[in-house]
Amino acid sequence: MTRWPEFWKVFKEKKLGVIGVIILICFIAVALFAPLIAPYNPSVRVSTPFLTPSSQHLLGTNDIGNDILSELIYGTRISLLIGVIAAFISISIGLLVGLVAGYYGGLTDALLMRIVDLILVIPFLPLMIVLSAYLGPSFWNIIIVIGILSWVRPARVIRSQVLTLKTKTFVESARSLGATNSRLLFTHIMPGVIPLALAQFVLASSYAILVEASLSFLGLGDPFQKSWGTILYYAQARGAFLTSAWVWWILPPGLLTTILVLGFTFTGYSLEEILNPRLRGR
Amino acid sequence: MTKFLAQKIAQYALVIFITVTINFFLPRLMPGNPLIYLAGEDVAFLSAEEKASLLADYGLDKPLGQQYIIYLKNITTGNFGYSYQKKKPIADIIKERLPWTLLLTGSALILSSLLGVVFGAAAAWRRGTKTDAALLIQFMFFNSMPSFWVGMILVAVFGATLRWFPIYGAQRAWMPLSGWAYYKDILRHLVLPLTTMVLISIPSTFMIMRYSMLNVLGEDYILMAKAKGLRENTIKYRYAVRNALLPMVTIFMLQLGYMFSGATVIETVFAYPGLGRLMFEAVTGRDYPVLQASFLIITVAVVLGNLLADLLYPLVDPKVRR
Amino acid sequence: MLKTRNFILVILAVVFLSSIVFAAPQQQVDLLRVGVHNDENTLTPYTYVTGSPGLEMVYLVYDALFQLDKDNIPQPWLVEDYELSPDSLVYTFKLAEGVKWHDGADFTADDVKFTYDYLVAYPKSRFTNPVKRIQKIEVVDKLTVRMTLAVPDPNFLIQPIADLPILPKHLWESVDKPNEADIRIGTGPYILEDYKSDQYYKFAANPDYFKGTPVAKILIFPIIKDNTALFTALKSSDLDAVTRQLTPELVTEFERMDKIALSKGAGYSTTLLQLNHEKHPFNIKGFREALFMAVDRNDIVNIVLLGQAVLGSPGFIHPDSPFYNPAVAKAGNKNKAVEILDQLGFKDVTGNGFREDADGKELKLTMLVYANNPIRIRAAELLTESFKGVGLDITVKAMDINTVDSLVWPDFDVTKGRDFDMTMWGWSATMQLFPSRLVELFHSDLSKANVNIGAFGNEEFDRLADELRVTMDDAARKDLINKMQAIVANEFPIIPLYYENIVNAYDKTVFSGWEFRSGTGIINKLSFISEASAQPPDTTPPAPKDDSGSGLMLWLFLAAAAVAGGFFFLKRGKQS
Repeated sequence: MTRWPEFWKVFKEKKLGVIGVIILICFIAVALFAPLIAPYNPSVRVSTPFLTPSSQHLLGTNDIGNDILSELIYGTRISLLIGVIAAFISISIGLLVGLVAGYYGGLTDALLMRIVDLILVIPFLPLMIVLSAYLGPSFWNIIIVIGILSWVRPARVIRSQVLTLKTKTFVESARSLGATNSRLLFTHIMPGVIPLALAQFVLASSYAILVEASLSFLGLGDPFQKSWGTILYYAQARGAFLTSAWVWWILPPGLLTTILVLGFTFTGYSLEEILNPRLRGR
Repeated sequence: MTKFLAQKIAQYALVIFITVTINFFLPRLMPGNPLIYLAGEDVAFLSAEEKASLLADYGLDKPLGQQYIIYLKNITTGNFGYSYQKKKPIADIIKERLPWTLLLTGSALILSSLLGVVFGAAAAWRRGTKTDAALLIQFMFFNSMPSFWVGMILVAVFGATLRWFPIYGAQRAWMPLSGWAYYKDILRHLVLPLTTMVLISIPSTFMIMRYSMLNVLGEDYILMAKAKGLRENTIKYRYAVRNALLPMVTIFMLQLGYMFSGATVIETVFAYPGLGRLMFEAVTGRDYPVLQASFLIITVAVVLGNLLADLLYPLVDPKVRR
Repeated sequence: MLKTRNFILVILAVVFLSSIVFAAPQQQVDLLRVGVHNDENTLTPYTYVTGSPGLEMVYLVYDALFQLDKDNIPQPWLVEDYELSPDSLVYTFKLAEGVKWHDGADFTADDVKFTYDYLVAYPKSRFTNPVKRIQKIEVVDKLTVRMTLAVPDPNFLIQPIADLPILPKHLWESVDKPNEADIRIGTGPYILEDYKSDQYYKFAANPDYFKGTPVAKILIFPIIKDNTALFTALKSSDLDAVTRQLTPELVTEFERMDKIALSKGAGYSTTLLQLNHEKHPFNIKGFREALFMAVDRNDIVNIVLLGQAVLGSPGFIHPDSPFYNPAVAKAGNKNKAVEILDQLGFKDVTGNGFREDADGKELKLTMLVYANNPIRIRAAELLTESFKGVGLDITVKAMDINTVDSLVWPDFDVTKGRDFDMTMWGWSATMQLFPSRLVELFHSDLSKANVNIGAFGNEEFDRLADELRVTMDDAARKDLINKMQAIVANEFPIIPLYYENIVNAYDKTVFSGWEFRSGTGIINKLSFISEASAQPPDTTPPAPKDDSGSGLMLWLFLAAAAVAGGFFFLKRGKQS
């Protein structure tokens, strides 16, 4: 872990990564200070519905009279939270599976990878509906479902990293010195995998945010937790396409989602670059 | 090699079997029943006997275990059953819908792979220059956009406002056209959903190609070729790109499977009559047999993709061959 | 590049000019394109799906003995004249002469008897139940049918007589699987020429139709399930009318368009808040009254529906109905709600801002709503706001349609119980068609009251309802129905919210002969037939055609430009 200062130095040189982090910090700030920044409370009906943008409502009002700009600002919280928590669940599982599969190999590996294939195959949409039915379309269900279905890619990536590390000489020498499997796993291999896991976490967040947006848009999310996807759901359901309202009602939520995801992507990508020397270039 | 193959095939057969079983039970866990689609809206006015006879007609009254055996028997003989909602054999419905999904995802796959390879190679070759940065940022941006939102914007701009392209369906439904007009019409309906899918899909191919190309460019033999004084184009195409393309083949195979289910959201936004949208309609309508059939097709596609990828991967990377 | 653009401009000019020249509103047209928002299968009485537009489309191909006019009053149709015996039990129908099936065979009384018998042998809920009340059907002669009832039925002419489409005996008598039969022969004004699942319907005018002239030579009904696509197609002249009514937020937008005309009228679909009377505290009348009083329902009409609705009547029956009891109208009153709740002992003893039960227990209630209905969700939000305003802890849960149905109305059988507190709910227009539906909604005997999903019961109401069943005199019936409404209004089994108005939009430059039927809108049989004597439709030109040329060219051009640009771009970076 003494490599952190060096790591930070390299990271600073990656302009993309820096931009990514700045974007993330901005969004986190907006989420934290939402009550101070937003002009209105988004769940309070402050005006007539379907107002066009004006000085009082920079992005107009939605179909029951909430201020759209305020909705978007508060929506940052939901979208961020869902993304980060789901990604955390996903990486935790993926890390565990990847480590075990890659290190122990053999039947364990085969079994785990078959489970990976199985998960990949379960259609996401119907599964989400089942869970909505039993648990109710709530904030937490989306998070859990995204988390338990999206660990597969990180697991694969981490597994291949583990395979590479396994063949490195220091591991073999440690083993010849009599270190047990679990000791090798946790003290030698895992540290080598953590940075990659971090990069995967950032990328998983971007995936989770996109998935949540899609689910909410399709009406499978909780219509009372106003994420950006939910705002788009109402926009579409209330005819935003058929009027010019799409400019201030459909464009902004998608744009914000894109930029947030971009922030995660830039950051995650730069992290990956640093961790893979080949990508660093000369 | 054959032992490896046999092992793999056995494993995938198991996956399909387990998936088929899960697919059978999953829809049955969902509450509600399709009775409203059997009797139409006025279900309330059915007597208890009438409802029971309707359930019996469609086999919903048998115990679960028995339904399952019948289900397995049917699947193996290609009988996917009869749809409650659409009142026609499901095999027919799938036959109608499948081509559209294939058309959409197939052309998206080809286009996005081609473009991804071209741009990925270009970016890697120009590593560190403005071109590389520009392409990288552009494709990361595309990758960050929610697919349905891109679709919506295209609908709003090109469909509703400019009216250059139709925004619904795969073809103009009434007064069927023939000959050249027919294909032109299909193409026009394909443009917007295809553009959406391609925009969303290029980034991953681009990134992987770029990554692969960078790896190759970092190899010693490239340095050797440069030292030997070979022409740039030769190095670029004969050595770099060709070698970088190898992992792309497996990616292509994997994408094949995912694209099938990935088209669901886009097909829904554009009401494109493919398999993805069929599944969404079936889920909300509790049309069990249609649901099972579409699950099955998608399962098979993904497993086939994985199988092909597994077969080709060792050929590509000898280090990980077991 | 210039040549392409000029070419496109010329085409556009021609189309534009031709649309001006031929834009006079037409009463009879060659082609009418109506977008339908649902796939109604093969349009037989067994295969159609929805009451509207499905059944209305069935009536294009088939006729019933009577036909509802624009005020929902049954008028003789396949029947020319009829007699009712003094005891109101025997109907003798004299059928119209010269009516032929689409395949040329003659329509006779045998077809009528066959159809009614067939519906009993092969039940189809909606039609079969009313038919079962007929004790005997006799064919008196080729064009006379006699039907004998066991008990007088004031609604008989509405259902089944004006409801059940008549099927051709010679084609259906050998069918034992009616759900799968694809027989398209009727006596109706249009012949179903072509139907492609999920794509479109094509009808051709029946030139020998016995009652009026079909207004269009060809009808095309493209199936477009997506609302946005449907209305965009109407805006862009790809359609001349749509079967979906305009949602409130679109009304101003469409009003502004010159070529679009709107047809507005009362809608009969009823939206309400349903309570579960088997659950505490909904079995307490005062609590229900407090719920009603807590809400300003005008707010919902104005904010959520933008004024395009009629306030729900506490007696359930729509104000436009001749049976409406104006005395039942009631307004909300928040203070009264607070007063009642305090009186009943629902006080906030813990100080958490929400009232507890009379015994001090926590009171948390859930309101269900279909997740895919944004208007209802918005209404639910407003309701809970009001409830919170009087201190009631009520949360909304949006769920999948089928999940909600399985909790509220398991298997669509009220005798199977219920599992909910309150739910946003809606009844389709047919519920308003017969005031006697009140019985099925609120009678305590669940085997009779098959839509009493809240298991409400009231002795006085039951007594009146039972009496209604055997009362034939119009005046006496009206009196009973008034009293029943009054009880419903005082007992609050439901909180009635609104009846959404129907606003239909159509392209008036193509066709403007639409007839608005109360509660249904313009998509009904009468719109598609004109009463004018059979004149051959004049030389009306086809509607302005599509724009299939320019789009593709533009795209190809852009693609070529992109590829060229790409090449140029790549070549540029040759020096690395």
